[in-house]
Amino acid sequence: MAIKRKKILLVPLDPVHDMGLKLIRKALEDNGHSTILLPPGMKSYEVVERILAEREIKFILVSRTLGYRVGELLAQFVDLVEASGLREGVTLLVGGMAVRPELAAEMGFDVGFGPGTTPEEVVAFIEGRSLTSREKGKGTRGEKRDLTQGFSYAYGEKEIERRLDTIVGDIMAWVADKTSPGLERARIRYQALQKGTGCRGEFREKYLGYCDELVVQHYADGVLPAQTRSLAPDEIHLLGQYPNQEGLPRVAELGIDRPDIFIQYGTGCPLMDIMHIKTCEAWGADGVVHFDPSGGARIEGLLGGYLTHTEDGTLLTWENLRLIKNFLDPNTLWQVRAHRGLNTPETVVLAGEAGADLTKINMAYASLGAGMDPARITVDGVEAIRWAAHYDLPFDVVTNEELSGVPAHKAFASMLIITHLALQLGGRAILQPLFCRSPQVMVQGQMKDNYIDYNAAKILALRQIIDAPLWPGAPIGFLTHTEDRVQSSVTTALHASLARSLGVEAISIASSDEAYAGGPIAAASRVDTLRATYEAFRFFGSAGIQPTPRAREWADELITEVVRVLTVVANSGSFVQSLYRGLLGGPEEGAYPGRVGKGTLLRKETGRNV
Amino acid sequence: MFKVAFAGTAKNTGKTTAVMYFLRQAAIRRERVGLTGIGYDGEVFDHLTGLAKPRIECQVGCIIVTAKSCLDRGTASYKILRDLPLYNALGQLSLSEIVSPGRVVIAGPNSRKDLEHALDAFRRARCELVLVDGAFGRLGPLVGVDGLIMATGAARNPDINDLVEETRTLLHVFALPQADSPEEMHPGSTISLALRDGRRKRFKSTSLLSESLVTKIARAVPTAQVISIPGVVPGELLWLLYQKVGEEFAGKTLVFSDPTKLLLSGNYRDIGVSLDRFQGIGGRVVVKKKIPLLALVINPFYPLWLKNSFRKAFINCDILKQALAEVSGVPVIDVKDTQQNYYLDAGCREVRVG
Repeated sequence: MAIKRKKILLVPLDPVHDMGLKLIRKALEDNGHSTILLPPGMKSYEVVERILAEREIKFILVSRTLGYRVGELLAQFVDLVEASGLREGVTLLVGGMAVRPELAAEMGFDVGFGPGTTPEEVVAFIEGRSLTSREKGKGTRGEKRDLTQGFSYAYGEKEIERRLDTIVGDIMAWVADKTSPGLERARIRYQALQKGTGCRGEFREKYLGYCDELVVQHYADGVLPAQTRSLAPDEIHLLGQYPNQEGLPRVAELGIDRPDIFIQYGTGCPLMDIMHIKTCEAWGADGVVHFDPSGGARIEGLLGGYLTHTEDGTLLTWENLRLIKNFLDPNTLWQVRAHRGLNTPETVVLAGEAGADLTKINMAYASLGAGMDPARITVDGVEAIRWAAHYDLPFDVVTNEELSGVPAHKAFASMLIITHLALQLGGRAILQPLFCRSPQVMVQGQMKDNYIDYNAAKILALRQIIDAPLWPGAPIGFLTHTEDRVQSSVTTALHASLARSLGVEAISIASSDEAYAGGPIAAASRVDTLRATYEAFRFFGSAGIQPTPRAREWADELITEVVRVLTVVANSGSFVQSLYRGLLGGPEEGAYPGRVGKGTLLRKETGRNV
Repeated sequence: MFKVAFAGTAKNTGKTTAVMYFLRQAAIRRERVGLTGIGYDGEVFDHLTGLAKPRIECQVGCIIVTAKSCLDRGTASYKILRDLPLYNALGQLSLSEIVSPGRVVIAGPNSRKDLEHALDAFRRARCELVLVDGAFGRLGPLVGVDGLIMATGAARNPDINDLVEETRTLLHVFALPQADSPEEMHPGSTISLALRDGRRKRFKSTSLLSESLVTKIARAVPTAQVISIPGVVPGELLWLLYQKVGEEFAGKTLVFSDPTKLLLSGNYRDIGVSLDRFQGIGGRVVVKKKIPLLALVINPFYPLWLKNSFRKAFINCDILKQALAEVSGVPVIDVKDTQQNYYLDAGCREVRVG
């Protein structure tokens, strides 16, 4: 339907400045509307006289940077329009750096446009419509992206593919006759959720048969771990009073291609998490990642209820996840991690049922960097991938073992094994190389000159190996942050710009105090890094960051070493034994195969311990 | 229904505090009260200065008109009686009743016509007294009320002498007599002059908005008896008119729609001087619609800009009160003074001492 042409008067009630109105005038005229831009420096009654002289003006857009007395001047202008008999026929709009809807209401205007308002938003308002997707820009609030779309997962390095076939074939054969308490709990949880019974009745008995005593006592007697309590109903009810997103300031969308930005939450309290999530959504986060407590990962079984605790990481309960999901913007991507611990398959079931968009799985990291027994986590990890495929949940394969000291090429070898395993099971993996100043890099010196080349090398190598989505994390710039919020924000923004320049699909960023919070992360520090990242994207626009030739050299070295490691693993005949023996990261590199869950595997046929 | 608006000569002159004062008095008298405002009030902090603002506390039974988006910003529990076909910058307005006491945030109608609609809603809700909180120094929407309480103080002008002089003008304007003759009450919507020969000279404009218009009117004054300006009259242009007309104005009448039209431009000084001169040389100045000024409420506070932020500052309230009482024919109220309790008498339509 054709938009009716409108007549708009643009009034800079300011001695000098009218730049904002000139930009808006252009946008209005480009859309076929008629505008009159008055010069700066006019008195209010002179403007009113001009309004009286014109006909068919339906919108009057006033612009002025606000100061204390200037509010009165603008309110007086509204009064003059009213007293001149013009008020009923026009819509009065006001815009400027300090304008908020509340101020606009106080001054008597019909609409207030605050900082960051784009000319497109003004045009859309005048035309009485919402912003189009094109006006909003790619990957913004209007669309939730599938990060894996368009990728073939075809291998560019066939040597690697062949070795992965061998390794994955071995894994599938090895897990075929094995199960675990975690695996069984996942199946019970799935059945219970399908029936809508939760952990009650027959499901409870079966479920608790595979749980540790702490969890059993919780369901039997309501016992909770130390520092943990249930949320009160009125605490949850108060969440309903939270202002909706329209009431929060929004970052101007850039309209340029950029990776989706994920933030990580897990304050320990789902209510606080929701506050942080809504803040981050308002400031431009595209996705959020649930961090659960590391301690909970070492207990067989998951607790239930709306639970909060004083430690870092928010407890994975069905109720907590559903509560958080209810408050997410429908277009915010939500990841629930299942990359370590004794509950990985069950976590993927909860994630899938709760409506998550992504999960995270990596058995190698879980065993080398998170304390899990390699055998147990491999069985659970394969099952977790099966569940991820069932729910059509893409998952990222994080390479956090690099933070322990494992060299990147070994972490990449593990990542590719998991990715190939996913392909065999119908899943979709997203590669997550770390953009970090890892221990290996500190020792070897790849980042002595700059942070660009080695991070770029990782991307170049992976792109050459396989056509798969890339999502650097976790977060980017890890171990380059300090206690200085400005420095942390800058390093985050620069790493984000590098990632964007390299054409990745998504990035995870930290708050500016995350590395050194020593306690709860402040919502304001989340805004720091989001704002800094957006500003950096704006700065670079379509321009990029050019690595030096060293990046290509290091990429080639990485590929060569990945092939070597995969050859060794394939020849060993056992992925699990490779983890135990340190072939994918050993003690000399700071990686130690874990012991949590050791001896808990069961034979499927007999139910006896393996 | 007695409709009273609280207007201020500037922001931070104490309008909302005055509203709260009279709201408490009405609650004591168990009157069914309606409350709305043409701005945004009841918030924790001022959006411009960052200083704390007075909160609005409502008792059970109070009827409010505010934006629906503001209903949950307070602590009072409410029941929406009905949505109104009115909107402001914060969205649609509703008529609601307070069901458990607490704080409210009021952002009501922003135009005269919308305020009329809201007042009608209060009437149908059987309110006896309606309080309309003002915003900044806005007066435009408040023409249709039964009485006005003006808040003034150091936020308008921290110099007591200047403040007294401005207030004297304010009082002078509200004390202008009611027009009575047919020529004075002529219902025209544009500027017109009733000429001595019985004809009428009309102009296209409603308001006195340009020097060229002032010149044209001034040329016609020698043959006129009554000069009607229904719209806005900025102070500097009224002064210009006097300068051009001078003694020719003797024996003639200036007619304005209502007092607010003279005060909207905020230039009290030129308005005051012009009216004194017009009346001084034997001219008559009247208004078609009187708006009773019921009381002055004073506030010694003003925000002082110091070292890149606003700080609280105060002038001497006793001196201010005494100085204003000497020029005022209406009660001058310091709402912090607990020795006297003023209230709005809906029956007599005035401010009384309880």
